[in-house]
Amino acid sequence: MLLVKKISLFLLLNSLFLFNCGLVYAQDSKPTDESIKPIVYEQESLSKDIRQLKLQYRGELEEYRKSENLYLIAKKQYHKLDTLASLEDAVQKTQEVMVVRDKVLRTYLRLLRLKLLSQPGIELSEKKNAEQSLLAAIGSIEQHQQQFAETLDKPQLNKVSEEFEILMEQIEEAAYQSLTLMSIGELQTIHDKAIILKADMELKIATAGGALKSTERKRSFDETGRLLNDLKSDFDLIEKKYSNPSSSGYKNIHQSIEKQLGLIHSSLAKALTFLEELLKI
Amino acid sequence: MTQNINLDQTQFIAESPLLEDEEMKAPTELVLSAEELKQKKIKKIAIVVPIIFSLILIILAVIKSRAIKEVEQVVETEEIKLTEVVVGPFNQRLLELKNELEMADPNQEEFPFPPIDDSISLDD
Repeated sequence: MLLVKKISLFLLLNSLFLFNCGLVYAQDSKPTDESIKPIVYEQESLSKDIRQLKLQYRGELEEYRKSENLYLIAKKQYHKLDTLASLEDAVQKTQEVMVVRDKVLRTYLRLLRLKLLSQPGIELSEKKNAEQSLLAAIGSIEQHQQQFAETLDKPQLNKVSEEFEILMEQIEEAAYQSLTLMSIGELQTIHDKAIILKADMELKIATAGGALKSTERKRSFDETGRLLNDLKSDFDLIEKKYSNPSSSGYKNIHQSIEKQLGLIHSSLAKALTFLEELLKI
Repeated sequence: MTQNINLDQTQFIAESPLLEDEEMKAPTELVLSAEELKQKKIKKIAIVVPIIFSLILIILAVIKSRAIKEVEQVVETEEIKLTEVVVGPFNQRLLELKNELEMADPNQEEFPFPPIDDSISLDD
């Protein structure tokens, strides 16, 4: 017994000695961002939710694709054979794909909502409006989903299909409203940051490096400033379009401003290259 | 031939107890070996088990220290990379802006509208 105790003691001391240095480093416990900035925690929590929803969305989209294939096969079989059995199978597959489609759209809108909330540089009132549209569309989808609580027959499915066309318009409007707002907001934020960066650089390095260099720098700063200022009118034009969707709807606005946003993106890239060059003069 | 035979009786008598002892001791050893065998086994275990355990612990400690070193090396290389890229605070801000701009490309939307069939129906 004494020997066994000795062995146990030895093993315990041995393990303590060997793992003593490897496990805990008190000096390594760096303060987390959460402890410093509580606001960052909220942002991080939102990012985590976005990541989770993104995974869910991808999974559901994959499920939809499979379900859609089965529906198409069953529908083809039904039109070819025209039997009760093939009709039953087609009805079942149609209902299944409709259920999954609703799930995909609901998750997508929820994902857009979180993305919208996490996006900086968007006016609060516009953000709230877009969020309300998304929430309303999510509510409509949930109502639509309730119809699938029972097994439907062919006429009922056709009715659901007709109703969905109206629902789809609402979903698309809500989605494109947010997508457009986010696209504008992202570029607007970068534009604002570029103007501030240019101003800071001008303040700090414009006069450095002698008269010759400072003249060259001034000309470059002026050119970059002109490029950035010209973008303001482009943004105004786009925002005006966004604010007055009229009858065209946000889907059409999104498509029509896509080219303009592309041009703004290129101009911003050019301005940033100018600023990079300025740092080398 | 006779010279080689030891006829010294005194020596024979003197050595006889030793020979007897050896003869006597031999069986006692055999009797005790059963008990000693247990003790020997325990002793063996007492020696072998800590050695094996120590070896395992040493191997684990070496693996762990290597892993820590690798992590430290990665952190160091990342720091070196950053210091290479970040020449000044303006460069850092510019780099961040460029990354943001890359992410904000309107031609590459992160969440495009899902590719779904909006006219699912049993009718043609």
